[in-house]
Amino acid sequence: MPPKKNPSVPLNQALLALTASALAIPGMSAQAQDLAGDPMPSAQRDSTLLDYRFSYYDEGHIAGSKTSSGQDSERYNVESHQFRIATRLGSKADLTADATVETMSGASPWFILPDAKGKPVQVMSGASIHDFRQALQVRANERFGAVTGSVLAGYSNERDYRGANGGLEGSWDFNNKLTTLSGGVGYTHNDLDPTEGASTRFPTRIAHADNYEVTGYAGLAQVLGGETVLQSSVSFTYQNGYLSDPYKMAYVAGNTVNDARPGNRRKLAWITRLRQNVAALDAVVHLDYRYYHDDWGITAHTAELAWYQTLPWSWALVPRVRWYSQSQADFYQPYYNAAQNNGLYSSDYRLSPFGALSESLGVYKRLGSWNLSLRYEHYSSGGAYSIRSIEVENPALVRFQVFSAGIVKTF
Amino acid sequence: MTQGMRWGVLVMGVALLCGCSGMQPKAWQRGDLAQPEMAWDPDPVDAAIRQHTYDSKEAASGSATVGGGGCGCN
Amino acid sequence: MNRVLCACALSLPLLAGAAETGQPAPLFPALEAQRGKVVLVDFWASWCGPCLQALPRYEALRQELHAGGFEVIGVDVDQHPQDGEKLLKTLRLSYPQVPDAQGELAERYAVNGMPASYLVDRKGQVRQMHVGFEKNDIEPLHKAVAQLLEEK
Repeated sequence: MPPKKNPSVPLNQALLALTASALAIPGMSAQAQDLAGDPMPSAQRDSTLLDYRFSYYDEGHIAGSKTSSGQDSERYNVESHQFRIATRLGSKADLTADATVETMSGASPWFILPDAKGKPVQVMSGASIHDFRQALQVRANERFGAVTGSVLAGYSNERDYRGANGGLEGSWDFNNKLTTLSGGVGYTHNDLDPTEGASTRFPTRIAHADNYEVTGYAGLAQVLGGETVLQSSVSFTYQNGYLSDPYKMAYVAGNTVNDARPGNRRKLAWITRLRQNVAALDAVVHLDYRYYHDDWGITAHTAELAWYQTLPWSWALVPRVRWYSQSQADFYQPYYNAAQNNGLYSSDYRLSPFGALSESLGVYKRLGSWNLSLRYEHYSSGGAYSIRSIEVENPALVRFQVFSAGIVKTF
Repeated sequence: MTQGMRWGVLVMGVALLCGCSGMQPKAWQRGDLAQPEMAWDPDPVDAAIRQHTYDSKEAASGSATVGGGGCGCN
Repeated sequence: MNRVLCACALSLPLLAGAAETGQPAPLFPALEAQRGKVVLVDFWASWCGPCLQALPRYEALRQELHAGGFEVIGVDVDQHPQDGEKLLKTLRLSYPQVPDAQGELAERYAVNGMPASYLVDRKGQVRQMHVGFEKNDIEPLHKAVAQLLEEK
């Protein structure tokens, strides 16, 4: 006689009892706790998860002292809605789908002029931009013993920008599940159809362009004792095609020309992540560092420190500090006094030398199978945060704040 | 490459060697490692929007995953 | 660096006393108390997903075969014992539980994965060892227990 299929014990109740942690938000992809020797990480005990997050991104005004008009100008706002559904497919596979819907509005930096003293001042795009982005990413994971394979695919759609991507990832646990080797390859293709491209108003603006990106990474994660996990990964990306910003211009000796960047880019990122339990305080420390270098001449450092503090009654607090610093692209200048032999021009603040500091605070509260969260972040960029001193700061460097609220339900 | 990179290679080398050393937790000593807070990204949806925001305002990008995601670059 | 290499050499498993198929199961009071019965010794922890899937299914197996001389002994290896206790309160299992926060028993049985179960026959010999748990594991386990119960 086979054993009873449905034991009389309330398993679901028991599972709820032990996920007392406020931060028991399941991610169904590979996670640090996979290394805990648990074929199904704690987070995957539930069979289905729904996650919704609303974020409001609010860019600070650009000061009149930095604009050509001498007027303050409003900048960008983004409202994002993220939806995730993750579900188990049998005992060895799971599927995650992420949908994002965003509305963007505001003004954006257009080009930079020298003022009478040679100081760069920003000209903002005249009309307010309104755009809408929708994106979908789907990911399927399957376990084959110590090996997990993943297939992912997605697309992103804006009025003037369409991207489609696909990828494969794999990971292998060995050394008694103390070590995990992981890697992946991905491909993205993007089509650009800029608003008012080749129009009578913007005759030099391109009407259509495209580019592609191939990326690959490999990483090694290692358990270092019962309370520490370290992971180090190297990722390489090759981009080819139209990589300029179709809406941006550069000032060149009294004229404006289209933003023009090289037709390819090689990017290297080296990411190291540490997770350390602090048993005495019932907390976990996250320390991440990324070294970045590309063949446009940009070197960047990113360091992030987060403290996951568990509190009574299923509350948790997550303060986070992130520091970023980058050097400029070789061809970047706030404005050009003479034409360049290589024909490359960009005054985009993203390619300028700067540093940034952001502080964030998240609060989580678990109520049974529900998880609620709120987060606030303030981000500020400028020369002062840079690792090297900066002679001329780009006037368009951003300052922003983000308000975000999330709700997760597990079944 | 840089000094920092050399340090990193050393740290990872030692970490690997430790994979066979006595300081490793046994199968039954991994409760702390199994906590959700020990995940690389305990809140993956929040991590995704944060990463997307930074990627659209900074030159650097790249992470230990290959998922893509559109421009959003103004 | 030398210290690291030394540590490697020192960490060779202590084979003496480890549970092995065909060998007597390392004894502990709760197991001795079940002498003459077929016993499943199950090492589990509250943080281990598959362990939790196994617990209620072992309970069902136990309820079915207890009269024939079958018992389950749970060994809770939670390093924070209150986590395991909290879970047991909800589950209300009928079989004995042994707390093993220091992992002494787990060490003696040389547990090398979670959950780890050891099927011990009426003579106290380990007849079967299993690491991990899936729903499909219950049926062969049921057969094995039934077979051992036949042995006198």
